[in-house]
Amino acid sequence: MGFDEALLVLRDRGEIPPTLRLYMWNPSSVTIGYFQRIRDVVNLEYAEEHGIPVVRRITGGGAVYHDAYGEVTYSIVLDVKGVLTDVQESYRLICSGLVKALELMGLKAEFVPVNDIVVSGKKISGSAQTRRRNTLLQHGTLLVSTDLNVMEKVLRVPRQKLESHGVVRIRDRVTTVSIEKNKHMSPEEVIPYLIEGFRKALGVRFVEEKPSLEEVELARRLEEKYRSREWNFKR
Amino acid sequence: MVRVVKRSKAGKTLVVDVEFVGDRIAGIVISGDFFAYPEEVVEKLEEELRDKRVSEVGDVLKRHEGRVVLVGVTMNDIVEAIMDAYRVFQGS
Repeated sequence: MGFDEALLVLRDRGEIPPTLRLYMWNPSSVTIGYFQRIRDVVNLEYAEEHGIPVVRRITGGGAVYHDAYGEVTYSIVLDVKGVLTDVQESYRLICSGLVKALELMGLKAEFVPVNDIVVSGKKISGSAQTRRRNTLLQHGTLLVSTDLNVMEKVLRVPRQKLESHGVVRIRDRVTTVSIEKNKHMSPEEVIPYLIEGFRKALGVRFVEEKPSLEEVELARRLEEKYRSREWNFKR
Repeated sequence: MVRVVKRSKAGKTLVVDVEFVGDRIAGIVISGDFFAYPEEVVEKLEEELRDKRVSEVGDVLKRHEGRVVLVGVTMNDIVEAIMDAYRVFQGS
């Protein structure tokens, strides 16, 4: 999370170009939305027992289980201008990169406002966004082969939320690329599709680079906040 | 402390935890899976609502309308949730 915030800060200062970052978590982790109360949305006892760290994001939205072996997280920093000025339209545009990626994998995906992407009527991706003066950061998850048993155990979903979707369990509401393709796919396998999907959606050319020294240094400085109880338990 | 959980029309969860003393708000936490830009405004809102009478809630939130973009919930959802919480408190 520190690295995502570093990208936002550095792009807002004009020190790095607009950037797409694709990554996986190790160990498996949970992120929670900026406004969520940690005990409401995470089974902390289960998380601690199973060595699953929990971290609060700087973005709103819901809690996400990031499976080390079954999920890809994307983050993107872009200048707030043109269509990206409007919050809802910016979600639509950036999420269309994921929709295109899933289509390239042979799946029929659909963006459902505010921030979801569904396949076969089930959520396969969720995104969250924050903004600074000139820059937005959007990050999100793509469920590739996530262990839904662990997801159900570590996340607490309000009864009202499940009821509103007409389901009783999380697994009735979410799906993964592997389930939809009916074959196992690894996070590494979907990364080229994501790059191509975002390239098409945004009409840009990506240049692959390793993290810069300034990105790494700022991310390290921010790490202290994301490790602190004060930040993660602020609500 | 009274808790009210609401689902917004946009499909987001809004939770308000409110402590009332008479008709005043002694403390409030607004949480959920919604979005607000800038995020810090929600904390300022919670601070401003402290020690206010329930009858002042609408005016306090209205003052913030131009300072924040809410996505997934509306100011009206927050007002309604606080009013629901007050009704629960009165009935308890």
